[in-house]
Amino acid sequence: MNRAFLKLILFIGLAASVLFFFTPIVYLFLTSFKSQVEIYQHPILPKDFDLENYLIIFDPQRSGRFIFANLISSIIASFGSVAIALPIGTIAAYSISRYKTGGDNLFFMILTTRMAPPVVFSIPIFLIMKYSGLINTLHGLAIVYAAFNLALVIWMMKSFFDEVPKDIDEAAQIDGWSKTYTLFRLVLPRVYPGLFATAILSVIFAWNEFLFALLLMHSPLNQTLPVGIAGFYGERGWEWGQMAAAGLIAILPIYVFALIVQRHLVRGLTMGGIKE
Amino acid sequence: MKYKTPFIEKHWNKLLVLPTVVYLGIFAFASFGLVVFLSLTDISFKGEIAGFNFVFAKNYIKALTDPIFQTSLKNTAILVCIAVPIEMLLGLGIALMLNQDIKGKRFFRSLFLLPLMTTPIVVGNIWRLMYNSEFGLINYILTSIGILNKPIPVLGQPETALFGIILIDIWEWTPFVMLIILSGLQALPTAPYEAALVDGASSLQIFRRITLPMLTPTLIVALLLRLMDAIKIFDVVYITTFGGPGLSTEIIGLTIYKEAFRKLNLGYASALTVIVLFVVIIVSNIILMIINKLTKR
Repeated sequence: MNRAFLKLILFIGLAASVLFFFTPIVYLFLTSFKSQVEIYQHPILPKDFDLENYLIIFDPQRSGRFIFANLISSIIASFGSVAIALPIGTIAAYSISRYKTGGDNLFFMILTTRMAPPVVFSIPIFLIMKYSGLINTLHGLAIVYAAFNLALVIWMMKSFFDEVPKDIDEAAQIDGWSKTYTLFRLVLPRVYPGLFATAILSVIFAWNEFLFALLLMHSPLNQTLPVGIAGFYGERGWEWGQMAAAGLIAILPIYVFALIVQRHLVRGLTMGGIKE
Repeated sequence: MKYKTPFIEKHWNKLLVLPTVVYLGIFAFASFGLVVFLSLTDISFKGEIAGFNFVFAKNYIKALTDPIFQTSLKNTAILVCIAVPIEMLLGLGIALMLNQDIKGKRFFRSLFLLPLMTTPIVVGNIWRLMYNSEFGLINYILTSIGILNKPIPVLGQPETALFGIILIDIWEWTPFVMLIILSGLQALPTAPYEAALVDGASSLQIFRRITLPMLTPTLIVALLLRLMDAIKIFDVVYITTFGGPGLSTEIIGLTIYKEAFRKLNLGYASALTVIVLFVVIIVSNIILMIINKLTKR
C-alpha cells in the first residue's frame, strides 16, 4: 500500500514537472509553424507543419533580417573565442594543477570574472573595444568572449588535470624528458575527452551570450543570433511565428551540444567543483 | 661541465600562466581601473567622449539616494529571495524522483537539461508567447477551463510583472539546481542505506536521517552558486519587460545598462558599477571560500 502510494506520487510529480519544463519549448516549436494570422486562430496546434516562417527568415528580401548572417556570426564568435581561450586556459590549468602557481590569489582573481555580473564590465569593455577599433568586428567579440570563457576553461581543465596521476610527471622527469614534452605528449593526451567537453561548454556559453553582442555589434550582418532574435519587431508588431522559428534555429545546435557533453555538464556548471 | 637549466624549463610553471595573467590583466584590471576612474567624473558619451570634469564622490552620493537604483536593488532582492528557494525545493524534489529506479531515467534527465541550455533571449521570447493575453498558452488554458474569466497580461501590469519574471527564472534555473543535486545523490555511499533497510527504517526516516545530512554540502554549493547567478539576471528581463511597466521589474543589470547606454551618463553608471562590483567581489569571495571548503578542491 505504502509502496504503491509512493509510486503514484512519483508518477504524478514526474509527469507534472515534465509538463512544466517541456511544454514551453514544445509551444515554441508549434508556434514556429504558424502565420501571424493563424496564431490567433489556432492557439495550440498549427493547422499544418508549414515551413513558411523558416523560409522567410532566411530570405533577407522578404523578412528584412539577416538570420543566416547572424548564424554565421554566432559560429565565428563562439568558436573563435574557444580557439583563443582553450590553449591559453589549458596550459594555465596544468600549471595551477601541478605547481599550485599563484596560490589562492590567482584562484580568486580568475573566478571573480565568472562571479561578477557581466554588466559590470560593459562600460570599460565598450570603451576599450571602441578606441582599439575592435568594435563591430567578430574577432573583437571573440576576444571578449574568450576573456569570459577563460575562467571556465581553467577551472574545468584543472579538475581534469587533477585526475591524471602526478607519477606520470615525476617518472618523465626522472627519465629525462623535457617539461614541454611531458605536458604536450604525456599528460595532455590523457585529458582529451575533458578538453573536448570544455570546448563544447565554452561554445555553448558564448553562443548564448547577449549583452556584449548587443553593445559591440552594430551592423546587422555582424550581429549574433540572440541579438538578431531580439529585434523581431516588424510593421505589424512582433512577428511571433518568425521569431519562434529563429529561436529554434538558435537553440537546436545548443541542445545537440548539450546532449553530447551531458556527462561533464555538472562539472562545467560548478566550475569543476562537483564531478560526476 | 655545468648543466644550465634552460629558461623555459626553469620558469615553466610561471610561463604557463603568463598568457592568462596578461589576458585577464588587460580585461579585468584595466576594466576595473577604468570604471573607478570614470566613476569620479561627470563623463557622458554621445558617439565620442567629450570633455569631462572630476566630481569625485558626487556620483556615489547620488547613487545612495537614487530612487531608481533603490527600486532595482529591491526588485533584485525580491527576485532572488523568492525564486532561489523555490528552485532549490523543486530541484531537490525532481532530483529525488530521478534518483529512483524508473524507466527512461537518462531520457528524463536530458529533457530537464533543455530549459537551462536555451539561449536566455529565446527563454524570454518563449515566455512572452506563453504569457500573451491574446493568444498565449497560459491564458488560453486558464480561460478555457474557467479558472480565469478574462485573460491576464502578466508582464503588462505592475502588480504581476515581477512574479512573471520570477516564474521564468524558476523555469530556467531549477534544472541547474536539479542537476547538481542529482549528481550529489548519485555520489552518496550505499552502505548506510543497506543498513537502514535491514533495520526496517521508513522512506521518510531514511531521507531525514541519511540522505539529507550527507547531501548538505551539495545543497549549499547549489544554493550559493544560484544566489550568485540570480543577481546576474539581465537578458530575460531585457527582452520581456525592459524593466517595466514603470519600474516594476527594474533590476540592477538593467539600471546600469540604461544609465550607461540609453541615458549616456557613463560617469554615474560607472559609480553604480563600482558599488555593485564591490559588493559582488566581497560576497563571491566569501561564497567561494565556503564552496572550496565543502568540495575540498
